[in-house]
Amino acid sequence: MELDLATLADLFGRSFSLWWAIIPGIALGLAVGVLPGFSPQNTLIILLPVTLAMDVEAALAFMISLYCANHLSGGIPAILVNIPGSAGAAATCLDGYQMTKNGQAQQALVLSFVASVAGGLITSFAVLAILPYLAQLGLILRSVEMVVIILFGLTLIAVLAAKDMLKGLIGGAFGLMLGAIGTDQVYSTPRATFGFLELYDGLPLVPVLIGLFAVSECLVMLEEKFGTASVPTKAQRPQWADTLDGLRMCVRYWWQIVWTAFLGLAIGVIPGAGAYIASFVAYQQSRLYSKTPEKYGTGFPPGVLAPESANNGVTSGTLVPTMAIGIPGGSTAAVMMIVLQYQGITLGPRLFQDSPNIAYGVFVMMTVAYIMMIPLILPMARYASKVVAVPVQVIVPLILGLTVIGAFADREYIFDMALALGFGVIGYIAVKTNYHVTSILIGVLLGPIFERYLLRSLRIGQGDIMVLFSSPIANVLWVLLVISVVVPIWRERRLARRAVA
Amino acid sequence: MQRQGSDPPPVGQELIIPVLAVGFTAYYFWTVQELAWEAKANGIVIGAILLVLVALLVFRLAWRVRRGQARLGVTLGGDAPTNRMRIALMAVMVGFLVALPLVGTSIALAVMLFASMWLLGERNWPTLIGVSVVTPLVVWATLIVILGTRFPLGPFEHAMAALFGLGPVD
Repeated sequence: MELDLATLADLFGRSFSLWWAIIPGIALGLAVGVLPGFSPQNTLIILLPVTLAMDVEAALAFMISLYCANHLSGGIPAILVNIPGSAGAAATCLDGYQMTKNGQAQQALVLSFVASVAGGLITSFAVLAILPYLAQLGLILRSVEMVVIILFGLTLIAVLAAKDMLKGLIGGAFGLMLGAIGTDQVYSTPRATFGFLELYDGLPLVPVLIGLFAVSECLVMLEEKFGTASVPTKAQRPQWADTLDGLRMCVRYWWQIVWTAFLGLAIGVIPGAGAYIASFVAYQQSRLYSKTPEKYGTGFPPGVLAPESANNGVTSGTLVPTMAIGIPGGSTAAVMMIVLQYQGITLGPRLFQDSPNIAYGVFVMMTVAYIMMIPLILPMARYASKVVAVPVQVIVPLILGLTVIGAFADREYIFDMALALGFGVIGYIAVKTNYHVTSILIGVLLGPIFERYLLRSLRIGQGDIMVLFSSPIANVLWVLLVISVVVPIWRERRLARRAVA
Repeated sequence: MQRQGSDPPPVGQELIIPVLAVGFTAYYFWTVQELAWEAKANGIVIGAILLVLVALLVFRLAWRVRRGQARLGVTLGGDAPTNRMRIALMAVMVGFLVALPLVGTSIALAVMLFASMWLLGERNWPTLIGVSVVTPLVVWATLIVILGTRFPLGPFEHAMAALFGLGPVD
């Protein structure tokens, strides 16, 4: 079915009439998203009895709003306290927290909110326009291409390691090794699990994220109160002028929002590719094509805009293969599929003939959810930034308590809470000895999926490594990858030569 | 070169992460030695790269020590009282994990919050009581009662379930 304007207007009207499901979805998504460990899919699974009892359109509106708001709010703790609410927001810490340290918390939050909403809106509209064609992308990109796409994310390790390449690479390789914990992809034999059954599925990401960022940051924060050589975060008195300043930055760097949103959309369309791949790739590419790459990591607005826009671009992308070919693009999409199938709706190409109100309606609901978020979240930037003014002796126990509880919530193992504490100590040592914790995290996040796609490709190629260069799309991606590795090195050297001269 | 009269900085701490990484890599190699190549190829390649990188780092640090630009000491930069505070805070967190299955989430969290705030120097009683009572109540109401997450239950959760029918029974 072609989407004409009358149908589109009707879908928008119906979606706006579901405000009573969208607003609670947004509120719950925002609340759950700021706590590491509370993923949208887990929340949706817990709420399955509620959504199954609802009318199908209302249930979809609720789930989509929750999903989008969750992606948006993961950036809030990343900016304010250097603790990403989800893996997709880890790249936001790099510049977002630096902005907070520079006394620009409110501006950073506005950047994050606007980039998230704009990224989500742009990609939702784009999907509505080209949905049938976009669905093909999920079929064209196979394991071979995925290997190269994941390598794009891994090259961020080298970018982060620019100041001390050797230490950065050691951190990244350590992360990749830790990512190899668990049963292997082919024979399911356990590797390096220390005898813990809890590690058979691999290193759980949420406790690692919580440990490396939240627990280690709490240990570092103590220096603000008790240390002698600390530089405290600059306090910022919330005012509307800062919100406007953040909006001005968004207008100035609007192009960053647009292109990274499309990057997120393209990555989101690929089944299994998560928001964290998109945000790391977006950050790395944004830095690569910037005229001032040296400003990244110092509190530079595009360093917040790129990952936030990309990780919300993923929200639309993830639902494309779900709707168009019946393959869930991610775990949240899989939960949505369960609800839709329970309601008797079969996903796949026929959905566009049988239930166009659902097929296109999903993306219209997403657009409406993002529109409704704007008045809810922008004023929030002003008040949320006050978090940095909470005394260390109160905020540290609160962060520790809530995040360690978050480590439990994901898989419901006390083991995961202990793991978070263990990784907290590793993260603290890494921070104090200048090993970038983000490098370790990238390794842990991308290592297992890199191995999965690499082995799948090698199986397809019957063990021949040349299979990685067997498709034209993969070859183009390889060339782009080489460019994205070589150009920063060449540019750094040129800048160094210029500085010497 | 280091100025005469001033001690060169210690660099031993820079080896903590590499030592952990090498130790883990050795353990990984040991656990995969019997496995098929597909199960170990990725880890072995990355592990080998890691070992080379660590060897380069050790060489670099040894070179600096030899030239008198650094010495073999270990420090994480913090002063002794702050380090003691950190260790005490981690001890409170370990205590929290031990107490969790015994007294339930709400009571364990309340005690942990109170103890941590007290340890870090908070002496304002309304703040101490407010934060350590309200936070566990919010966690109980939202995560245990509304969302139904299966946190360890204790006397408080059981009492609330028995008295008001709120939350899971076991």
